[in-house]
Amino acid sequence: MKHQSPFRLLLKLFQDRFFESDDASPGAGFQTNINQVLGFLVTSGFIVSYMMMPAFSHITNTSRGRDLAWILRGFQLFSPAYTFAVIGFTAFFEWDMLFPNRRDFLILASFPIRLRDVFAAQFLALAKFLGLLIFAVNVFPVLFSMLMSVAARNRGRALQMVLAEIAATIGVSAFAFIGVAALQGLLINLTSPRQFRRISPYVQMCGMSLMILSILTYPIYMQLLKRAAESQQLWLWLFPPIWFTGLHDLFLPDAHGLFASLGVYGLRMLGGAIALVALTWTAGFRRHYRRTLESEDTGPRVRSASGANPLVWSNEERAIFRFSGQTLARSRKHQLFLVTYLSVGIALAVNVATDVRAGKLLLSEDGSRAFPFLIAFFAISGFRAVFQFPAELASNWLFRITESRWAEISRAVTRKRVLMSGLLPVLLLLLPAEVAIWGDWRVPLHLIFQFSAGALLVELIFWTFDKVPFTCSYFPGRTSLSVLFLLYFYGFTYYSSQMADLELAIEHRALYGILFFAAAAALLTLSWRRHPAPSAVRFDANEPVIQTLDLT
Amino acid sequence: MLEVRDLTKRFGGAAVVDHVNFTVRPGEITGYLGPNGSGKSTTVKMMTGLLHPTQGEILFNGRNIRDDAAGFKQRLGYVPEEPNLYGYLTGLEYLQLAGGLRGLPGDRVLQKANELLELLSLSDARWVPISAYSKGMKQRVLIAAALLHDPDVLIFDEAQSGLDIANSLLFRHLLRRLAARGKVILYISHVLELVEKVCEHIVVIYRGRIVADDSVSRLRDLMHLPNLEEIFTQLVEQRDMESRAQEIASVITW
Repeated sequence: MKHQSPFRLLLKLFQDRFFESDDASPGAGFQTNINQVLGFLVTSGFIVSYMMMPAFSHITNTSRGRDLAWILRGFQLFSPAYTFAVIGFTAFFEWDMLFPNRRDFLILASFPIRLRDVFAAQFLALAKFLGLLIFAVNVFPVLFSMLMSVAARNRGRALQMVLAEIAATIGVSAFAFIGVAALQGLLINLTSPRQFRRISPYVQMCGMSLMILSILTYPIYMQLLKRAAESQQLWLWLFPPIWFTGLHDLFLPDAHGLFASLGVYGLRMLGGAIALVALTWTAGFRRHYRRTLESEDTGPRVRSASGANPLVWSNEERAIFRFSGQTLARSRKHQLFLVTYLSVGIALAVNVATDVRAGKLLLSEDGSRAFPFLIAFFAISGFRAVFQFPAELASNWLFRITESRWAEISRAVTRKRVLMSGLLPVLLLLLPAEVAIWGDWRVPLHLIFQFSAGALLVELIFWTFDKVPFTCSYFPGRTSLSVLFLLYFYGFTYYSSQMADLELAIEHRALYGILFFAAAAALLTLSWRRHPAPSAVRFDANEPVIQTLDLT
Repeated sequence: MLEVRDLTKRFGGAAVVDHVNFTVRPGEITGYLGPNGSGKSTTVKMMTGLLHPTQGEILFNGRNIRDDAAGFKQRLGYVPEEPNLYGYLTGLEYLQLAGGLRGLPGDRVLQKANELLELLSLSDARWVPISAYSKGMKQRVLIAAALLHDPDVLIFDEAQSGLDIANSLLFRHLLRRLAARGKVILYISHVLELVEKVCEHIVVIYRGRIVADDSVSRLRDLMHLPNLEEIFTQLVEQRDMESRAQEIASVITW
């Protein structure tokens, strides 16, 4: 058997962590997992680039002169924006894996390994991971940008354009990843291990959400670019993909002064991030190691509300209601999933609610009316999706052993949980915006209408849900994803536009309001009183029937 | 009384539990023994309703437990082999969850859970997430959850695993006290000394089949062997452990 040095083993250990996956078959190694992840990223890059082609082709055929130059700049921004979002999202997602944690230290402490080897192996693993990610994410977007630039501009400068594009995407990728690592290094130096553990989920959620918003609002800010540059707006200096787009202006002769400055600024910021990572981790690694090992093994104490809840009517209901709330409040994987899902919804809703005219960002009246319905749709369907993922599958024996045909109870609890933890908080969070936009008697009307419409949507989406949230032992992989995507895509556009129209109609004619609220009350009452035949909760998918051939 | 009749479980054609019969009587502690992979846990999973038997039945007071699974589960307390618990819940929250799922009133559950946690030396950790508990602490939470509703049937699968000496002793006394109150108790363990001390009746399973079902004293007499350890070794054809230990010591010598 080939001998591996301790350093190589450490390197393998740390690089494997980036691709740990429950879905991988037992025994699947780094190569198997890495191929899956890289394949996914390469394919996504290809699909996104392919989908951009028709829009680009249309614009280059219909625009000329200075306008075309700005449109091209907008398209050039896509590749850095895409790679920034994907790599930044991945870095936040892998937050716990960026540097060794307490578990690693406890395991490794008993071995004769130098701390500097642990540090070096982790750094090398990070660099390798980053290199692979940059390649996988950027290969097709860079090719697309090259084709686009060559097709639209002077073909003689093709090589310079390619180099500029590669520099921009590598620069922004490195900044996204190293920036997240620097942030972690800073937090590790400034906080105690316990504080760090406590704030980590919030940093992760905010970071992942911002990365999703940064790419899905691309159609808006690419149109704002020209006017922002002309009036030297501040946001250009706050958004890394714009800085690195400026590298084109450093490579090419017809440079735009502002963007060239932004390019230089981007390089300086990258240098600053590298310096910060080096400083925080070389200075803090040994201390972090010692403090992590010395820190108490116990997590922070938690207190949960245990008072009476008028929403739940039986002890079983109370138990499941509390359990679902505790899981939502404490399970990081579920929170991250929900935040990602909601961020996609918010980004789409922002696109719908805004309009860019003559380089100015304006609020669209129709869009802003649809905004709360879109967010509510994503919140409700997000809960439906997140409830399907088990919290700790091996622990669901408790539910199975106590289960007494309470699918109906579970259904009622699930509905109440979505209304209380999903729909209501979303509408209350949007209330200040409602007040700012409408500011009169329409605000309470909107709130009641949006809650009623959301409650009806909850009934529709959870009609067949007969599981205890977070205890289901199979993943929602049986439905055709393309069918589901179409259903949801048409579902949310239809629901939000129809409800926005109905809200407007109710404002103008009280009769419509009376009819709607009467119908909603009747439907909700019927649905809440629905008592289908008592059935057991489903924990497993039906076992496949195996047909033996009886050959013997 | 809990009766296991002709119980069989096949996975892919292979019988893991093969026509097993035994009875667990109220007021006595029945030890269920067998080497790893002999079918103990599979039997227990069928008795708790986590697995469906391929063949056979389990009767509680003469009635098939599948005829009224919910009713049987209400009277069952179970400590599983693996301490699978929701790590983000605190010990107290877990007991509240277990009580609530059994339909017990919240205020009574809270009171009893606090009392049990106090008696099991867990009151200081009641607000700490279970993920931070030691194995012994998790085990005590599981024992508390199994007893919370005062069940008639108790199945302990390696329940003393991870307990310190004091808690192990407490658990042994608790078993006797519960048996004296007429509970039906099935106790699965690899610690033969403990089984010998607390169990009146033992059932030994080997390769999915029952190879012994009697009181410890009768087995000693029948097999002319001094203790349960030797009875067990003979029944399950274990190789001579002393010579095997010698082999291991030789292998690790460089």
